[in-house]
Amino acid sequence: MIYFAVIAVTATARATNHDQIAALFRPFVAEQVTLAPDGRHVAYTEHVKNELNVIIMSLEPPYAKLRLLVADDQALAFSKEKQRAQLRFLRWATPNRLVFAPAEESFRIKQPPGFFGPKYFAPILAVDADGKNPDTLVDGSDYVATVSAVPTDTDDGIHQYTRASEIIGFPAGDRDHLLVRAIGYEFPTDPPTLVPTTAFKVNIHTGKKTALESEFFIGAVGYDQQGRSRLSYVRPLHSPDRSFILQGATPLKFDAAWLGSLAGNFTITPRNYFGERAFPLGFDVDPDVLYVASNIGRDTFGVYALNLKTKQRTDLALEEPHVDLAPLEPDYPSLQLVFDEFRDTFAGVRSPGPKPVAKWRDPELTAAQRALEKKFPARTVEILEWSEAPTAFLMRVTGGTEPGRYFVWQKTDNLVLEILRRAPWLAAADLHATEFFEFVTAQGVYLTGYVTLPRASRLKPPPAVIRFADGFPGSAHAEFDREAQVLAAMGFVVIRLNHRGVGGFGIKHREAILAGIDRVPVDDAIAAVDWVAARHPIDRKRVATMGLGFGGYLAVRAVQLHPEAFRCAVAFNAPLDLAFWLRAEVTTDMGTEIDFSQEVNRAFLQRGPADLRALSVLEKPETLTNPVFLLANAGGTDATAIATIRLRDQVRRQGGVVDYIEVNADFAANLPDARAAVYDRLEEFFNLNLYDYKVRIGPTKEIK
Amino acid sequence: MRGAGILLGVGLVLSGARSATAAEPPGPIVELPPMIVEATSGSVTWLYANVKGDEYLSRCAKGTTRAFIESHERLRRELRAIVPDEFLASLPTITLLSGQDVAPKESDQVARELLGSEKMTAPGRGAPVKFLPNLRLDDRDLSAVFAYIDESAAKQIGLVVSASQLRLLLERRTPMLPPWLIEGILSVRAQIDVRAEAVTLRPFVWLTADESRAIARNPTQPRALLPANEMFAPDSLRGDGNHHPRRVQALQAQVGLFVRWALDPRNEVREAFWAFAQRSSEQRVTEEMFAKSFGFGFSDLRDRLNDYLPIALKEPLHLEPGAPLKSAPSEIREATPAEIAQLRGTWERLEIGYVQRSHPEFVGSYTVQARRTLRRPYERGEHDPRLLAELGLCEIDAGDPAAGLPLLETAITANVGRPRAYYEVARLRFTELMRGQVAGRIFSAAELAPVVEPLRRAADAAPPLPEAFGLLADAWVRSRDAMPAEDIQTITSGAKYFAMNPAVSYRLALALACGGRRVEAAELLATGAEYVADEAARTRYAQLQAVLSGAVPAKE
Repeated sequence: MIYFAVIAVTATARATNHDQIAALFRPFVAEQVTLAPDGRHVAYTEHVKNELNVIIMSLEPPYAKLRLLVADDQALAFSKEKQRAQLRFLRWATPNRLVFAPAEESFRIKQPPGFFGPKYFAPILAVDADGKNPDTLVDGSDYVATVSAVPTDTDDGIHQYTRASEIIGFPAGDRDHLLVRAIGYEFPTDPPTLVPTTAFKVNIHTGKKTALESEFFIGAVGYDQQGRSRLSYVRPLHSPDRSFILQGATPLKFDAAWLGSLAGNFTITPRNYFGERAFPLGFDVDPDVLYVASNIGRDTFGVYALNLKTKQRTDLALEEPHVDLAPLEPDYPSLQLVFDEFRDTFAGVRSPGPKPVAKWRDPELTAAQRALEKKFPARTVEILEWSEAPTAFLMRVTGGTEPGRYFVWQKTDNLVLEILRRAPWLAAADLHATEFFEFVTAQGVYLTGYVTLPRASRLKPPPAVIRFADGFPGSAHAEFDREAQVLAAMGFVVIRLNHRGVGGFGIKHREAILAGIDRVPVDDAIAAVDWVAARHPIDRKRVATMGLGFGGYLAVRAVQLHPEAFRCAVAFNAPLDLAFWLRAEVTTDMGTEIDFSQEVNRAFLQRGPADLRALSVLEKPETLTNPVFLLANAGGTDATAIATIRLRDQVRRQGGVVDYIEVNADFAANLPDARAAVYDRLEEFFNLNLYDYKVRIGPTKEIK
Repeated sequence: MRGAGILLGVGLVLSGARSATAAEPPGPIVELPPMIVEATSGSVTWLYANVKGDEYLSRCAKGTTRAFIESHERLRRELRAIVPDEFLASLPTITLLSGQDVAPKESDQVARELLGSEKMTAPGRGAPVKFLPNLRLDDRDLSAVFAYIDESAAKQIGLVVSASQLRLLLERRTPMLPPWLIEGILSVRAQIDVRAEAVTLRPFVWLTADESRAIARNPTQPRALLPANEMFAPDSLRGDGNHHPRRVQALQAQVGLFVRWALDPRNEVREAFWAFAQRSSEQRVTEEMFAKSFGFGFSDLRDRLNDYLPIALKEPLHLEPGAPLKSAPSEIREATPAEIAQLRGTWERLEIGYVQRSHPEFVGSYTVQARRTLRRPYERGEHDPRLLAELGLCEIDAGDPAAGLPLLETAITANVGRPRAYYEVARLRFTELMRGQVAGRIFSAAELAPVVEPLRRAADAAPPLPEAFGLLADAWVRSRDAMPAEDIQTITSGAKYFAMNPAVSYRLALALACGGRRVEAAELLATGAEYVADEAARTRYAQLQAVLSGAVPAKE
């Protein structure tokens, strides 16, 4: 006779602790890395004791290092922790000369008469590989513009205006200079004063600055590789439409006469933003060739090229069937276009996405990519830079449990030298394994994501958290996720899902959400839990939902729609009332200022059949019967914060379980203390509401 | 017959530590011809012991002989801390022991020189270590050791396995072990600190002492480990840029690191590792296969080894030796004249081949000595099959196969337990069968039977000899009759044992293909081709693969 009793789980000590969280949220080493053109040195960033350092390291034994202190971390409001100083530029100009620049900062200080604008701290520095000849090439004072106005009795009309700056890069074929632009603006005088945008060429050895051209244009500017502004991205404050102008002797609009159907699509409106359109990415070394992203006539963004002289498309067509090779908004200079600066050729395209993708045009890089992927199976290999020879390739390898390691592949001995780990304090064996997954649901939907498996769990089978994608449209989840590691340390199987509606996978995947803004992603979440559960044991009675922004909305909505499938919800800064979130523009004295992202989101979501008001979590609060954990920014007055507080109050009134927490900017900045405080609360919430020691388990049975 | 160079297989501690160092003696190793075991006066008693098939013939005192045998048992147990028994070939060993006080005869200058070289101490901390003058010679189906022992220090005998002996046991294991595993285990052997009480590996050395110090001091110091798929690939040092000295060095160090990591109890992968090692001796290593054993993939392995390296460089690693063997104490008794003649004769026969290669001017006297030793009991009427086999092999090694063949035929008729005897008979018969034949001549099964029959028996005996399986394959490739199921099965077993042996894998694949086993043949070619170094041979493999896949029509 065997007596078999089922007993409730007992409370245990906290699974995570501050040190673990601090380790996970400690800033990575080598947020930026660069390889010298001769392949003999690398330079990278490292935070040490609230200081940002640049390290120059030789790639030959004994791998001598040189440390350069660049900037101090900055105090952050309402936080004991400091905001980490950042670098905005780090590149080798020559085999021996490194150029770097800390992120620009501005200070409101009292300026002398005739001097306007904040003070800018914006040095660009250079140093030799051996640490000799350190030099501040330029600083904020070098970007001051002198503008003449009409003199008055008390004012000679000659005014000085400070300007922010942006580093464009090295001009094609000239690594002795750096292209920088001082950004113009409209100073609020009556009439407004137009401060010009000026491009400079800065000598990296002497710091000598040569102005190239000035223009009175406000907005994003695309420069060609000789430093001439050639492209304007017009984004009016008071109009919902945006456009691109090709500058020249006569500004040229993209014209149907030579672009055909492509031409009209260069105009961006809230209606076509998430649909088919095209936009310029940047110029080739040949200034007559313009690279363009387009998804016209196809599902995902591909990259093409136009010859502006012949007005013909070239034969370039870089495409991926499931992944957009360009983001929805261009960056100038482009982060997607990659050039071989030693040969002055176009090398290929890089794209973020569920896994970073590189489409190389250059056969040597294609072969190198293939060879390196073979060396690191089940990892993502990103070739970042290569030496002039090219015998050395700098690459970042991520994926699996790995937050990232940097290697230099030395082709002469076919060895991959591990030069850096992004988080050397995190031992591979201590991290929780993460697997990429992809599958097709019973409804024929292709879904991807990552599942992180806990190394140990309090329960067998372990509980799970399904994490919706952040924001709207959702961003594809990254391979390594600190929060997933924290949740796995609490004992959860963490499923991070790129559900329908998430961006970067083409139009169909994004637009599929319109069939049911809440239900479609929630159905995907259920399908993903089913799929994962079929492969890894999961306690189906203990599945929590979680999300940030729109993902937070989906997390709460999932619990509201399927309380039987999801035990509780965690929402960070979630727009819980979609109609309120996407309310019409606000008119002020200055006119109607357009919030473009709100316009495009509204235009997109209103295309669906559902009434956004009916989708509000707050519409039927009585259906929200399972516990929720809500997080909002402290003192927030936006639609998100207001709706969060409303829901908190509603749930409390009806006697439900709600845990509400406010955070400061240090949480968003991923600072360890702030994160640890929130995860501590979250773990308590899970202990009380998910592990739920009041689970009814039935009477003890005697089994014969 | 093949002889090993003079490498230390036996060590003797003079004082302090329990066992001798594994380090090689300082200074260059001088290769000497082996010592002749001279006939002794009637006053010397030869002792005999048989421990699980390993035989000892000793003219030392009983206590010394026992101490040596016990030390040998202890060595096996300690060896189990780094490699389980099932990964070592079961190669019978005969050991001849002699006291150092027994002076070699004036004529045996070699033994005198060998004895003169015995006062060698290993560098490093701790007590000085004296090495036993000893020599190991190997045949295809057994191994023989001759050692001089200082009987005054018999209780302090400590044995260490030499690299060459361990290599032999690993390389002869069937199914064959992949090179990365053999080199990895040998590297771990080289790390053993024999002065320490338990089985202790000294802190690891990565490439150079400087590089090791730098990584131990700073775990983030750059370093180049090979990706795991390259570490396991047999051809990872082939092709442009792949034989760069740094890459070769890195690979050699990394396989040692891998085995050390696997044995380190903190990593909790020991069982998984040996399960993986077993699989990798049976099939090509794939990431899927690796992940099945370890629960993670190749990239994670590279990362874990990389992260383990600074720990390995800093700390010694203590390993638990295997449990003591539960066996009755070995019986040591006086040897019979036949045992003396047979074991001494075996040793002397092995000397012939060795001397032939290294000191041909001595061959004559060594041959005479071996024949004399073996013939003496034979002429007295002793016809034990082992003695006959030894006599036959002695004639073959001395270059007189015609004299050897009848002796071997008699021995195998009496079911002698020596696979080489069966192989040699088959080889000589096959040579005879092929003599004067036109190229491409094929035979009937009946014509091949005298060759095939002894090979079948060789294949059933231990240790399996690749040449026996290869010859069986060669024979059936020349047959006009279908290969019987029994021989297909034998060749399939050979394919499993020797897929990594380029000397036989092609021949076995060809026979399998001829026997209609195209899938097995193709699998064997795919694995075998990875271990073939020369381009012409690889082309041959590729051509046969193409024929098997139907891409190219067979010529015949």
